[in-house]
Amino acid sequence: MNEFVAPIGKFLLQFAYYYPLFMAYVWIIGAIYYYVRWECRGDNCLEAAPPVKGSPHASIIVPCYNEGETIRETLEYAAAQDYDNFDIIAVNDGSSDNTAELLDELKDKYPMLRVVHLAENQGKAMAMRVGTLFSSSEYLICIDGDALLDRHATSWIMHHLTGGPRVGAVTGNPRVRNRSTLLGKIQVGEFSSIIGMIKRAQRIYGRVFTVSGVVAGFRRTALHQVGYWSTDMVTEDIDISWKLQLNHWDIRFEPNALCWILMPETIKGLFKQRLRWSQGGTEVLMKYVSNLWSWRKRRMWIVYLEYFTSVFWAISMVGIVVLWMLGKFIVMPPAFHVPTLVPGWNGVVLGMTCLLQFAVSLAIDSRYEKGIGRYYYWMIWYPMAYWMMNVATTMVAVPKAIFKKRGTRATWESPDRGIS
Amino acid sequence: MSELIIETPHLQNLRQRYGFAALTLIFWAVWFYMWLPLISLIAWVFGVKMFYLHMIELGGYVGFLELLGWYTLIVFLIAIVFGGWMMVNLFRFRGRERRKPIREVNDEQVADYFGVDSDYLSRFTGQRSVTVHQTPDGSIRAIEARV
Repeated sequence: MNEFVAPIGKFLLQFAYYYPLFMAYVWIIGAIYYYVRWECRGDNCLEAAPPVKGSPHASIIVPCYNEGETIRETLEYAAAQDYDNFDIIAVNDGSSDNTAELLDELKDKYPMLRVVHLAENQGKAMAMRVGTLFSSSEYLICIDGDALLDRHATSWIMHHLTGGPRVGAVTGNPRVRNRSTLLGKIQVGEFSSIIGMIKRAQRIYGRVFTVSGVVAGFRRTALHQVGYWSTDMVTEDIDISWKLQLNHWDIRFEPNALCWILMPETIKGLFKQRLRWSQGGTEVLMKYVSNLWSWRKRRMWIVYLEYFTSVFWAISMVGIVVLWMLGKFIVMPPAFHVPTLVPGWNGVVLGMTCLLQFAVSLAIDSRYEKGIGRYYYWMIWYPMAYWMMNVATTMVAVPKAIFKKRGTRATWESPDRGIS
Repeated sequence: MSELIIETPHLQNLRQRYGFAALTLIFWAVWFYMWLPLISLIAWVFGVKMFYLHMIELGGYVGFLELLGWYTLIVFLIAIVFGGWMMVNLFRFRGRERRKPIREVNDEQVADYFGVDSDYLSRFTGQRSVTVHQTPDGSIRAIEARV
């Protein structure tokens, strides 16, 4: 039994160390290639989006649920887009606060605004489906009800959507607004070094795991072909990304399409959000596993494998820590004995890699936000505590996803929007 | 327009502000602890003898250099594979769209998909504010204009 278990145990220990190490280099290298290929070109100027031929009409769809505190600002920024042919469709999804009244008041202020009230709360996916129904545009830009869209973002997104007939979606570049607390500061770095870096690397590969649900543009024809957003998935953005790509639509990333967002600044709020993301990712893994067994869908295999491996890694980490702790109290069989969690010389390499990843990502992102480098000091928390949060949410999310009743409608929960 | 960046640390209490800053410092200290082998090597060079575990038991700087060598090779391979993949795709697909374009859907098709009569819907698409009533499964039951 020992001869069988010992090599597996050794493999898992090494896997737990090597996987995050080498994946970090995959993201770093991919992001650098993307930056050199697309971002540091002379004609790539944040202030001047390329002209969009014909300026076809676009609809900005804003699903809202209890956005009474933020919707004024959101619509102010949405209405100030420098693109010259758009309307805004705000969908009030059965809000219980004063969102409905505010939206009806604001339509008098913004001539391009139309408001659709859903009589009962239906969930974000349904709100966007209804918003699409009321739009006559082939091009839809969907933003969250508390997101501030940069005035050039629509032009940048439209540049991609009109740039090729098989571009199904474009994901924008969310930036964290609230940085008063430690959690806010960590997320600034996280959005650069993890989310921004991974999106860039995935674009070099050719397939992405997900659009950013907070800011994304879509081609209506593409959505129609894949059945629009699913109403039973807790992360409709991951789900629609997979639906589109499995039907051979392209999803692009546009770092110039900035969108300023509010992220949780409490542990409870952050945990709930990350739990939803993790559950959504697992739901997608389960939903599409049977869909992948086709040579025509081979380009999604690596995306699927990477996410599956990350879930497996989280579970392995929990196993290793549990075995290490048990080893402090009882004599463990050699195959299950974890002597130390400190990796020695390997730790030096892991440490260097982590700091390098954050440094590269913040350097790339400094183009879109001056002074972002000062958040480097706070990034030490990411491997120390954030990884543990991600491992914890995965452990809770995987069983939730597995045991969730199929077809359950996914509805909103009021998010934590920071301390101010 | 509001400030895009919200930085109001004064909304936290003193314990939170200084507590987190102190903890961050401690984490940096733990981080440097992981660099102890390298720090030990440098300290040894300057004659300070506190390196036994890392220099002797774990193979010392020779082991570290060998490790670095392997890592550098693997990272180099990742860069070659990724870069090669990028160049192959650029060569195969740049400026060429091999997938068939799909005819754009029109408003009638979208309405039909959602189970709404397009003539009925068109009475409301010009309205500035409407209310939509749905069945439990999400189908649209009725639409009414809001005054």
